[in-house]
Amino acid sequence: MTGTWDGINIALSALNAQKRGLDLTGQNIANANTEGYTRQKLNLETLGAPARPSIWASYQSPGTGVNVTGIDRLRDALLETRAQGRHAQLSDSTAVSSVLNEIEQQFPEPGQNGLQTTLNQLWSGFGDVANNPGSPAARVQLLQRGQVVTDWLNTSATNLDTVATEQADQLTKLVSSVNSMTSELADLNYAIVNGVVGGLPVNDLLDRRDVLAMKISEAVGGTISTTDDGSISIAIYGSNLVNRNQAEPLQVGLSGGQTVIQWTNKGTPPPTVGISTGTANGLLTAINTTMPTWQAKLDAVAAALAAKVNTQQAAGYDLDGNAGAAMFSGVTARTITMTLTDPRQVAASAYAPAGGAVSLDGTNADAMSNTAMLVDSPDVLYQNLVNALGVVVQASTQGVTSLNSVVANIDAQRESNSGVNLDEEMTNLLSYQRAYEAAGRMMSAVDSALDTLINRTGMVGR
Amino acid sequence: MNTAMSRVTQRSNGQQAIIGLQASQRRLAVLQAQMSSGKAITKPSDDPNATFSALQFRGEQARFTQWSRNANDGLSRMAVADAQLQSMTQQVTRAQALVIQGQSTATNGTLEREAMAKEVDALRDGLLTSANFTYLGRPIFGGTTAGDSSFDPTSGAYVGDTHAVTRAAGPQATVRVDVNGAETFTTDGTTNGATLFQVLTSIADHLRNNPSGLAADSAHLDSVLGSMSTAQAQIGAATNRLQALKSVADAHNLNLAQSISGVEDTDLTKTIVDLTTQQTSYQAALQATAKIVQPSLMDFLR
Repeated sequence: MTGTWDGINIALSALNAQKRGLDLTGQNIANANTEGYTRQKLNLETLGAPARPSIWASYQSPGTGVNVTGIDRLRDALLETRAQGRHAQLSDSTAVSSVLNEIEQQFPEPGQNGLQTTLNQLWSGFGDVANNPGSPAARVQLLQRGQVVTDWLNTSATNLDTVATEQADQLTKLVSSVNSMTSELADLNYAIVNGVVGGLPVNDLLDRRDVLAMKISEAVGGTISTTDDGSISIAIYGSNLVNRNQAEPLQVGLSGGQTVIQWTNKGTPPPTVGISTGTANGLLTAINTTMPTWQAKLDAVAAALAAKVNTQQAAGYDLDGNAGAAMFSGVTARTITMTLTDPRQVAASAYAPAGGAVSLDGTNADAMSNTAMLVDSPDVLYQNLVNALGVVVQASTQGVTSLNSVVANIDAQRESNSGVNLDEEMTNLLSYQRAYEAAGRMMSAVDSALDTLINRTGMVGR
Repeated sequence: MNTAMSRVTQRSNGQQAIIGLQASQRRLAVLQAQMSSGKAITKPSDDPNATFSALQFRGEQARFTQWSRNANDGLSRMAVADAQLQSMTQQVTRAQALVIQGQSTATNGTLEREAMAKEVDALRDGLLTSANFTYLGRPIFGGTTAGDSSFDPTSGAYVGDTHAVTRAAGPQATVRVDVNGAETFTTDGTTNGATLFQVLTSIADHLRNNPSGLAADSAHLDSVLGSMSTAQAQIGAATNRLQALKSVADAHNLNLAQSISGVEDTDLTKTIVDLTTQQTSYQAALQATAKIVQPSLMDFLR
């Protein structure tokens, strides 16, 4: 025995369910191009017979319609974790690679604007003085060429310092943006837990939280884990960055002469965060390792230049018969300067003045012009620097390129898993639309059947 | 594109298309930069080892250019010294003839010897001018002296120094490019001996007052003439050596220029072919993208 109104109720549940399907398809289509949107799927369930009919009763109805049990978010958690790790790695490498590229720009080789050209001109200048030690023109030209070399070194050192400062600024900005993202994520955790308890839809909040978690991973790395109540926590090296609705603020600090990121509220002195990936790690590597390495190599070039030329100067005698004074002072690229200002002071002669007569010899200047051929000359150090820098930049660029393609592949997989396919949605739209129409037809079929029953019954012969 | 991917969406399609097109455009941009700059290496990371070679080549080129310049300077210096030496040899030979003539007291009277003495005085003046000849403001026979002359015009004493003037014209190749006045124009090749001019003064004096002293003067002139011809031979040898070194340096410079160009410059033919290929594949990628991205089920459902 079935109820009189069963048919209408079945049709009604169908209309409701198919309407939800149409709305959901609309939502999917509307967000086809939204970053981080996860496609949603309607979960339908047949409403069958009551599980336990009353005693002696039989139930012959096919069922009581359809029920919407929920809306699924089609997202693969494993893929998300992999993606977060890879994104963090890519950000790390990109940060290092970009600083290396900036360093490389300070060394415009091979070409007319690099240090090699200015050094070549300096050594030729010594050769010209050797050819004509008495000529003031050759000596003035030499001093000017020396000035060009020190200018080049000073400018490059200053530019490298600027790059280092920029990295430090960037790190500070990154940490403050991480702090605001973690507190927003903690707020979202709170809202999601409350929403789940209250039975409210939280799919859009989950999407927003996933996007934030990805951005935090890209910035500082971290392990993401889900808790029972639906909130997520992020830990860096075992310490919680976000736990439920609590976010731990970070700060930039110094520890043992190295720039580090610290936990602001976890003790005094603030403990160091064990950052191992993400943009923050890239910036820390750049600040603590990359910049000092190349600055030291450039300083070594400057120091070798000053040492070689000054030693050879000291071995000779200037135009007034005095032993050669130091030509350069300072042992770093930033501080090296020309101390020789009087062209007469270039110690071109190898012979001490005999009986007050100064010699216009040029062999000491010749020896200086051959400095470039020494095994530990500034030229050799500089050439090795440029070569090593080129190799490192090349390797890091290739690393970023290959990581980029890995990340692009993972993102494509995530997109293929969670993204919206419009053809699919069109098909769903058609199915839901047709089902809705059919349910409406069902409604009118039951209606007209009841109409016959109610209005026509007992009217025979009337 | 990952073949394991089971599901394709419009967005993933679009993203893949963008990634592919960007990669293609990047390659085009690199080729275009190579074409327009004419350089295959624009920064060290393009090819670290080629950059290293280019830097070394350029350093070497600067050195060899300077060596060639040094050799040129030495050659012109020696040409000047050689010309002076030649004319001086003629004048000294003439003085020697006068000495021999003056020794025969039988044929020459006081008047004749006075005339010869006057000629010797004139020869001495001419020789002094030659001996104090300057090149680029420096006396060529004065060693590395900072003074204006090699020999004192009145006393005829050597006032230069004894340091050699050298020019570096190659790796470990230092060539002496001067003739030292003290070595060449003295009776014993050192500053201790009498200079040519002091000998000539003595000749004029002996011609006038004591012809018997001329025999010793003649011997002195002979030894000066001997050292002058030695100096000329040395200049000839040094000139040959410098010329050889200079042509080595010039030839090496040409080779270096070729090496630098080979390392740094774009291979135009190859780049143009690559560029055309890349353009074709870029256009193909654009057309394929246009075909794939356009249609959807909506075009077929009405």
